[in-house]
Amino acid sequence: MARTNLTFDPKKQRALPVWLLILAVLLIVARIVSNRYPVKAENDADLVHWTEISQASALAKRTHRPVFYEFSAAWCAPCRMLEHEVFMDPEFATRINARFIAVKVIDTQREEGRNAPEVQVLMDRYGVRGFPTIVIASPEGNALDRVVGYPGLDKMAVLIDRPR
Amino acid sequence: MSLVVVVETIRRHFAHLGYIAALLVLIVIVVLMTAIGAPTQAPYALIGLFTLIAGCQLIGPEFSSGTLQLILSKPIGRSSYLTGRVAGVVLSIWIAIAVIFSSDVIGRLIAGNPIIWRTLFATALVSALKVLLTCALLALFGSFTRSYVNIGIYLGGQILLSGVYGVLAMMRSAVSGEMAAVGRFLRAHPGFMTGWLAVERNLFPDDPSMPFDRNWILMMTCNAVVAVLLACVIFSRREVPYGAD
Repeated sequence: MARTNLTFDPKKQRALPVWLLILAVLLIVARIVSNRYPVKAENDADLVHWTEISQASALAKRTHRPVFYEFSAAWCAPCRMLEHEVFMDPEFATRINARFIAVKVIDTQREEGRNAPEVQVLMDRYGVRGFPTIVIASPEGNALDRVVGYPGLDKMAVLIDRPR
Repeated sequence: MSLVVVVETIRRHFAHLGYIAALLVLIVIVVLMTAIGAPTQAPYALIGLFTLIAGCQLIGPEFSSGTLQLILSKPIGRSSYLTGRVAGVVLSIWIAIAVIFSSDVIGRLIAGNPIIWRTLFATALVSALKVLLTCALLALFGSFTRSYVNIGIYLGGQILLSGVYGVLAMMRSAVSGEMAAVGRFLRAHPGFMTGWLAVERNLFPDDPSMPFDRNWILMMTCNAVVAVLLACVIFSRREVPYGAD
């Protein structure tokens, strides 16, 4: 009776996958090379005309328009979604530019351990605890509307178009 | 990588009532969310939970139940088995992402909400790559532990890295009091915190700052492949004694 060969090479069983090793080396090299050429930010695709924090109040009083504050952070994923779906949309951007003085307030607490003084003043004034937070404020600085988190396109449209 | 292991892993997911029920619940939730105009990213938040549940069972429970000992008595390479398991679990969750994507599009069409294809594809890609890295890390942590310890290391590591960074960031601002010396040290050696943040962002990355960010995609893929490679190195040398826990 022929015997079934049940033996197998233990060394072969514990062998490492060469393809995975090659793939890892290729990806590490690609990552090092790619990091030398940072991807250009799509800020130019952001169609909202952002105003500096220092100039916003004076401009709002002069034009009698409320201020649209967007409190954001570099690590905040919903903030990116808000930017892509709302601020890069020509229709939304036109409405924001026509009705508000738009101000982007970027939190750097996580990266730098503190915020710029003018950023911290605004965050304390409007009690910002999460990102994104959108605050619509009167030219005098009183909060008229406030949304925490990205609520989606429909609710953003309501927020922007609400008469004030 | 063993194709048999990949197919068997996917089959086991589809044969599991919990997986099918989860897919059906996902479809309902996604259609409802898109109908009320929720942000594109919202439905994909569920995939994170789905990944942890499916990914924590990659290798540890098989070790504890004694299944692994039986499998490794067969002429299959340990690395082939492990990579096959990772690929099977990742593909099973990618199927769930495809289901979310399709339901999202259908929900938007039904509700008449706008479809921004670039955002939809970018969000699905981010979710798919996060699944890949999470499963790779769970395989790595599972390669030297038993049972569901890998999920404990994963969640604990995430909390620890992020929490300690927050404490360090507060200490860095200290100019007086007991923490002043630590604050001075951290301000004098900014590389310490930069390095800490780099480790956190490589293991538990934030979403990319723009869609289809080449560097972010490469980081995710590279880290996942390195994690699986390390898992293979550890698993191939691991002692797997006979008998269940």
